[in-house]
This record gives sequence, C-alpha cells and structure tokens, in this order.
Amino acid sequence: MRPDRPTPPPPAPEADDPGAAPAYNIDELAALAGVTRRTVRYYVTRGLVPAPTGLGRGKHYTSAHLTRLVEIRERQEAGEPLSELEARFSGRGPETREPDEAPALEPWTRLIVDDGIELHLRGVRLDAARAAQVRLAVLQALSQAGAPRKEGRR
Amino acid sequence: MNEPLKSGLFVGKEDQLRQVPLSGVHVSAELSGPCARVTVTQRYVNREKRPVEAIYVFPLPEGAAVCGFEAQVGDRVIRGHVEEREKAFETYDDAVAAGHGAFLLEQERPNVFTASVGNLRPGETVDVRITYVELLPREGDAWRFTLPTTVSPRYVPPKKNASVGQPDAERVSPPRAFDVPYGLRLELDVDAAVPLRAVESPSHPVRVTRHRGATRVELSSDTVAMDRDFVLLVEPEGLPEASSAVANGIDGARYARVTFRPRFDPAPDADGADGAKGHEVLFLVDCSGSMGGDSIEQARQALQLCVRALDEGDRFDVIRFGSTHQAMWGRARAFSESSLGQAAAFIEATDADLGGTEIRTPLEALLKRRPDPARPRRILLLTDGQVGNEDELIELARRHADTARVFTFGIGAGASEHLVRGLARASGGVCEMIFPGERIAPKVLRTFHRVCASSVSKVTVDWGGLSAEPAPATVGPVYDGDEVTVFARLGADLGEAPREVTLVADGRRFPVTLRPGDAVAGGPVPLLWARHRIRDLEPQVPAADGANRRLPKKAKAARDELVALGTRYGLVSSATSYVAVDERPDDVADGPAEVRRVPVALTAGWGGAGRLQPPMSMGGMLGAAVFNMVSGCGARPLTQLSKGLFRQERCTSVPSSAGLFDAMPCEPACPPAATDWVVALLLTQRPDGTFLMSDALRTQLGARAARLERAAELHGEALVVTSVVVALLAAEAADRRDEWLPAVTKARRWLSRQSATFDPAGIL
Repeated sequence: MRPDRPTPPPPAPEADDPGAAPAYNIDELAALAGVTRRTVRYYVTRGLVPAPTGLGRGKHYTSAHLTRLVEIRERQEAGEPLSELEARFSGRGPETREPDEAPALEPWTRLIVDDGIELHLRGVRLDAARAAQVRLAVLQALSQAGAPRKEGRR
Repeated sequence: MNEPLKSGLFVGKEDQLRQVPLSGVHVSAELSGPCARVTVTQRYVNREKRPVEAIYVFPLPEGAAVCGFEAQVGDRVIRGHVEEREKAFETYDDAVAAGHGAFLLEQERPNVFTASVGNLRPGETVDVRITYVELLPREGDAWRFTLPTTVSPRYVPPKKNASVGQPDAERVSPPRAFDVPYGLRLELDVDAAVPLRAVESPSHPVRVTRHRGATRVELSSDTVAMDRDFVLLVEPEGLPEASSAVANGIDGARYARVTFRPRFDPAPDADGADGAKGHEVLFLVDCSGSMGGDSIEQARQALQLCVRALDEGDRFDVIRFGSTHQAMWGRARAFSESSLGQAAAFIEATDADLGGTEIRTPLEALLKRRPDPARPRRILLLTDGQVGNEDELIELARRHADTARVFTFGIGAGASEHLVRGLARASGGVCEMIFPGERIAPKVLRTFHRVCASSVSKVTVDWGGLSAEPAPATVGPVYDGDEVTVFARLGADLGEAPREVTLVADGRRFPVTLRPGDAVAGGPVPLLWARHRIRDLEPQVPAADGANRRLPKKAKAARDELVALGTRYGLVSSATSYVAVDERPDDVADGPAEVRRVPVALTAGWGGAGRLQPPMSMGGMLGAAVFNMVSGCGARPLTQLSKGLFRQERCTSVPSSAGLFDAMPCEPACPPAATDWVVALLLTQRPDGTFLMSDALRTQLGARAARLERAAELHGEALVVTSVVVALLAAEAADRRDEWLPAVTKARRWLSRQSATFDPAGIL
C-alpha cells in the first residue's frame, strides 16, 4: 500500500526567499535523511512531516522538514511506534506550524562508506566532494588498521 | 434486489460516505494443460467531482507469474513496463505530481498486490488489466484452479526489529467492510486439446458448456461477492503420469517444463528407517479468533481423522494455539487406546477462543523439542494462515527442515496460500487446501499417506547431459503419487531431436521425453521458469523497509538478479513493479487527486461472522454503470434460503437456465462426509489396526452382514472383521486407494502377526 499524496499547503509567502534556507526536492530530501521517497510521502500523509512548501513546480522541502524526518527515522529505529510519534508531534502541531518557523537547524549528515559502514555526522554538513574525501579517508584508515568490516551501523 | 439505483455508496462504520472507485472485477482464464493464463480486469470509475487516486490491495494466487499490466482509458491502451520497485514508484509519483494519468502494480507479498490508479479524472472510467500465468497444483486426479478474491484480516505480531517508514502490516491491511459495492464476473475456458472428465467447484455454483471439444465454465450468477476464493477442480480424461513442454523464449533461449508423478510401489527404503519405529507426529491447531465458525469445525473434523490415522509405534501430541498455546501433554506419547481417547476428547473441546494467531512461539517450541532419533518429526499445522509475518515463519521452518517436516492444511474461504504452501515447501512437507464444504477425509488421509509412508528425500533431475539451469534449483522430498514439476532454461546444445530427462529418486528412475521439435513460441513456460527462479531468490533478500539501507553483498546480488529477471521477463516481484504513464497535456490538470482506498470484503465465515453462504450481494457489474445500494448487514435477504448448500456438500454445475435463486438448493455431487461409508468405516479402526463390527460396516455389507456375524463368532471377531474390511475396501473402493491405504497397511500388519488366517471371499 502506498502513502497518500499530500494536499498542497497554504501559500507560504517567504518560503522561496533565496539564501535564507536551503530548499530540497523530494529526492534530495530523502537521500539526506536516508529514507526512501516512499517514506517521505508516507510521513507527510500521516501528518508526521509537514507538506512541502510552495505550489506546483516551486514545491520544495526545507531544513525543517529534514530535521523532522531525521527525528522520526531515529525514533522509529529506536522502536517508538508511529502512533506515539503522532501524539508527540501533535502537541507541537506539525501541520499548523510554518516550516520556516522551525527551531534552528542542526546540520546532520549520513554517509554510506561501504557495505555495512555508515558514518553519521552531527553539526556538520558535507557537500558531495567533501563527502567523497571523508569516505576515502575512512576506507584508508580502516584498511591500514586491518580492521575486519563489521556489520552494523554507527 | 436488482432495482438499479443511481449511485453506489459505500457505507462504512466510521468512514464518511465516500464513493468506492472500483466498480467491478472481471476475470477471464484459459487452461491448457496444467498451465493457466488469467487476465484480471479491474474497472475504476470516478463518480466524484474531483480527481481521485484509487489504491486497491487485492490477492492473486501465490504462484502467479504476473506478466502483463495495461490500462485502457477510453479507446487508448497504455502498456506498462517493469522497473525496479522504488524506481517504479518514483516514475508513478512524478507522473501523478505532473497531473498525468499513472498506473502502478506492486507486490506486497507473493499473493498480495497493490494497484494504484493516479489522477482518475471526474467522470473517467479506466480498465486496468493484469495478466498472469500459473502452474495449477494437482489434487488427486484433478487440477485445482484457485482465484482468491479478498485479503483477510491478518494477525500481525509485534515486531522485534523496529523499521522505518510505513509499517509492513499496513501494506497488507486494506480497509474492510461486510459488503463492498463491486463484484466478480468470471469465465474460464479449457483448451479443446484437453478432454475433460469432470469439472466442479466447491465454492460457487457454476455453469459448464461445451463447444467443439472446448469447455467453458461460468459462474451461474452474473456477478458474485468477492468474499471467498473461487475454486475449480478440473479433471482431465486420463492425466498422463509424466509430461513435458518446450518453448522458445523471446531471448532466443529455450525453456522446458518436465512433470513427473513417481509411484513407489512397493514402498522405498530411502526413509525406511522411519517405517520400523513410526513417527513423532505433532498436531498444531490454530484456535485464533479468525478460525471461528466453519473453519474450526473443519479443523476438528480433520484432527479427529488424523489421530485415528496414526499407527502403532507413532508418538503424538496435540497443541492448540492463539495468543497463547496449550499442549495436550507437552511431550509426545505413544499411540494407544487410552491416548487416542484422551486426544479425541481434547479435540472435541477445541474452539476458536484463543485470540491472536501467534504461530511463531508454539512452532518454535515444537521445532526445538529434543528430536527422537528413532522417529522422524512431522508437524501437522491446521490454520487459515492469517498472519502478517509469513516470511519469518517460513524461514523458521526452512532452518529446521533437517529434523522436521511441516504438513499444512489451509482452512477456510480465504486462507493465505503464501503461508501454508510456503511452510510446507520450505520444510519438505506438503500442503492441502480445504475450502468450506470440501470433503476433508481424502485430503487428510492423503496427507497421512505422505506422513507415514513412501517418501524419498534424495531427488535429482538428470537432464541427460544437457546444460540446464533448473528452477526450482533443488527438488524437495517426493511423495508417492504426488506430482513434481521442474522448469529449466536450456543451453544451445538442445538440438531438435527428442531427449530423455529423468527424475532420479533414491536410485529409481522416472523418465520423460523432451521434444524440442514440438516447441511453441513463448507461452507460459519461460515465464514460469523465471517465476520459480524468483521464488528461489526472494528469501535471500531481507524485507525492505522505508530506510535507504545498503544490503549485505549476498543479498544485494540476489536482489540485482531479481531486478534483472523482473525486467527481462516482464514479471512483478518483491523487487520489481509494473508502471504505466498516460501523458496528458499540462492544461488539463484538475488539482491534486484525493486518495481513495478501495475497501475489501471481509472473508466469508471469517471468525464465525456468518457461516459461509452463497453470494448474496450483487454489485458493480462490468458493463453496467449502475449498481445496488449496499448498506451493512441489512442487505442479506438470501440467508435463510442458502443454508445447507455449503455445509458438508460439494456443489456441482447447475443447468445454464438456473438463476441465482434456482441454484441455491442444488443437489450435492457427492454424499456429505457423515454418510461416506469409507470414512465412517475407517473411523472405526482401533489403534492396533483391527476393525470390529460396526453400523458402518453392516450398512455397507447389507445382507452379507449376517454371514459375517456368524463367522466372527466362530473364528474371532477381530480376525474375521479385519480381513473382511481389508478385502471390502480393495473391492468396493478401489478408486479411493490413497484414502484407505494407510489404514489397510496397519490392518494387514496386524493380520500378518496372527497365527490364524481367514479368507474373506466366502463372505463377500
């Protein structure tokens, strides 16, 4: 079964202010949060993540969406059921709050180094070139240490 | 009842009044040999003023190779193509977002699929056509064609490992209703090349017509409710003991199907060590809420037959399970007069009162009991299979296949084939499906025949030097009289001359001739080869959740092959979906589509919610734009009329002139189980294998009974009656050998140990 499609949000006048906040399309958002696009749609349907900002082709997601997405992912992985998450977030009013009024963004990067090795960096955002350097460095460090590649993350 | 109304409203309990965008399902099937090609047409109609996106979760047979998907909008046909699952979703999602028409078909389980129809514009009608091919399982002398129609509510145990995104259980849990405003139309054609002896449906009244050797089967009523499987048993004239087919695939490769039916007479010694001491037989019976009503009654009957079919030397235990489980003894006990008596009472007191379907705990407990080195373990599971963790259970059975074989009975009007067939297949057991009203005895006794005797585990296929890539890759244990089918992709060395392919079962050889000269172009064989290959691969890929994880290397390789197979052969799998896009000019966008989940009917007889009755809600016929108002339980006018039809009888074809009402009291084709003399007689057998005088025997003997009574007084009752019963079954129920053979074997063994013999010829 697939998640429902989001209904368009009310127009957000300042959402497209260039430079004020990064804007992601759904593919970028999903990649950054380490989830599938289907999951993004699903969370939006359940009201766990606010609908994208903007209309039509200008529709996009912001860092507030990303923060929320990552939080849900982590809580789900820790075993918290979606119903509890809904209750948790409904207190905060995810649907009424403007994404741009979200608390300050904490940058967060999840980098897949190799099969079974993921690197999670809080407070750091890596661009693609930098990510490639880090990945290489980790792989070199591992091979120098002769460490067996272990299953599991973090 | 057929008064047309202008709108089709679905009245749900909590739902607001909402229109259901599915207006009907039309199934058309063709049978040629043991393969069926089936086209399912789902008609979607948007009667609302806004665009909608219809999402329909529906079942197909678990062995189906879904090989075609197209949508017809007006007179335009948009063909689907196969893409990797997440990619297909993205293609679909992009198209919907852009205002195009979009169609997606995804696999949730091997027997549960989701169709999504995006941007159905106001007033628009779309026909979505899904095509699949399947290999029909053989049951006795017939092929069993099954079309499931609804996804039963499943018990989903709490998950141990947290997952990201949509919880897995939601994917197989569509909204449900007692009645839905759409129905099923069905017709099935049997190739003229297959002369038929009999056609019958235990599930629906059907109408059978013949034209120039070809046979057409239709439902007696135009449209039936989609709340139970459609089951059809097609018995061909003289089914061959072995058969083969060769096909040229579109890729230039050649593919083969080989079917064997080995008979081991006398019984082989392969598992012979078993025979001497007997088996450890553990009965595991589902007493969850969903089994209420018809199903638990069938399970009780089957169990009563089962325990009586046990043999001297066997040890057994009975375990009921639901949310909790209770064992009768907690360890297997010897089969004797007193243990049989206890078991009979325990089974009689069994009811569907134990809540959820927590199969894992009791199954695991049984598998981990210390094995008895002298007695191979056989688990007989009776269930409707309504659980959400099928794969986990199948994997559990696979891990213990060395020490235990699981034989399953899929019970009810909508049992989950994926679970019951999957468990049996993974552990080397065999599955039998029991639809309400089908005779249970033959299935139970056939299963016991397999449990107790004649199986060979060392089985290979000798391709006679040909380079062949077989699927399934390995052949499980083979049972006397059961069919074994293997597909293969063949190398270029095939040539045109006939070749011999042989099933080798513990040294015995069963050959079949492959005739490349008679190869057909395409057809079901290449697709079924790929489908079996997919089935071999799917368990190697862990279920995906909504996180974008990397797979371990081996799993990734398996998934890559799934994607390659799916795209190459155009097949849906856990890793591939069909998607079709109908590009529309930008200016026709009507705003975002609202999601409409299509509700499915609650399975007939589910949890005892109404015993199984013939279809009564006539809804959503194809080709008719009107359908009946359906509103909860009120619309069940036929309940009283329908009693009896589906109880213990098989319903056979009715004349084509018969309408729905006329069809109700149709005569059962076979006597109800209670008056079946063979079964009644077998139930009187004592644990040591002997028979004594009984009413069942007197009735069958008629005037001969008096002679028997006199002889019994002279030579001893057990000796005389047992000898007579053995001879009587052989003489007067020869066609049901599979049913009585285990009992007669037991009886003969007892007779051979007696110092005296008795010749029953004088009495018969």
